[in-house]
Amino acid sequence: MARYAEIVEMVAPDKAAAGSVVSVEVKIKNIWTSQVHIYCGAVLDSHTRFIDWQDAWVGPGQVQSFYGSFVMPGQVTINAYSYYEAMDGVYSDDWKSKVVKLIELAPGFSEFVIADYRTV
Amino acid sequence: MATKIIALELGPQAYYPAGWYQDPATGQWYYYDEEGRRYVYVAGLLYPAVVWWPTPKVVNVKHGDALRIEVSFNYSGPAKTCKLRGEIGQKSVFNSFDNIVSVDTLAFTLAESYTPQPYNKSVDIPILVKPAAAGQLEGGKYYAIAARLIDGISLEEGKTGSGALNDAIFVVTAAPTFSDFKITDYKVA
Repeated sequence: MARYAEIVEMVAPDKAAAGSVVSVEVKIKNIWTSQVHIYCGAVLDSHTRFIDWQDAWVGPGQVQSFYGSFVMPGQVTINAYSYYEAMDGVYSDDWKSKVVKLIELAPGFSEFVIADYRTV
Repeated sequence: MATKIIALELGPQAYYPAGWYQDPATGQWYYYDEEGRRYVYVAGLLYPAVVWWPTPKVVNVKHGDALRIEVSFNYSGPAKTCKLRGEIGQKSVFNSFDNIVSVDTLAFTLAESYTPQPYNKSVDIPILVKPAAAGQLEGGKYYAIAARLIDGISLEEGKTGSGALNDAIFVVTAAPTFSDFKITDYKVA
């Protein structure tokens, strides 16, 4: 449970096509009674960082959004982390996870017509 | 066997659940399969019924010509390799398309796409007229044409293939004739 920087929402699609750009928004709320220096990081499957240590000073009760994107490689799990800065360093605070499934492509044909025919 | 009375007319826009149908006007039996394809029942056999599209023009062809059929279609999905088949045939008494000549293009690849992409392809069918080419087209007759994608692609008129264009081409009689044959010289080689 978060002490200062609670991840209240992670906005990302449930499904995406391979090769498409997936945008992610991580909303972090300062749940402390005064301003907190909050950091955010997010990774794909725990190894590809696409929100890389973004930070902001966030007032009490305020929600700050952090943005990132990645190219959809296949089904992935997004992990987002929040951190807060204390007098003696930066500490991990909250974590949220979401699976983005791959949209399967099905063949689809349409509008087949004979446009012309002639001798050559 | 559940019999359904067919309503109005059997047209390309109509959809009928799989089963047997009878045209009350003619008594003709039809069968629709699960994929919406229509078959004509004649003497114990089912013949695929073809949707006949309006023929926009008649093209005169002669022996030695090639008929180029140009098609357009849209495709979305994974990359797929297929061929285009062009066909010349005739309308049978059962309303089916009786193929006489068909030519397939070389295989081509439709690129992977999440949105429908337009394609234009063409196929050339050599016109071979009897008696120069046995079993081919006859001079002085009209023929129908059609085109479709093949190689793992089932025919769906308006999607993966065309309806048939009846009387779309007319074969001009131009029987091959030889004349003036003579030995022009002879000598020791």
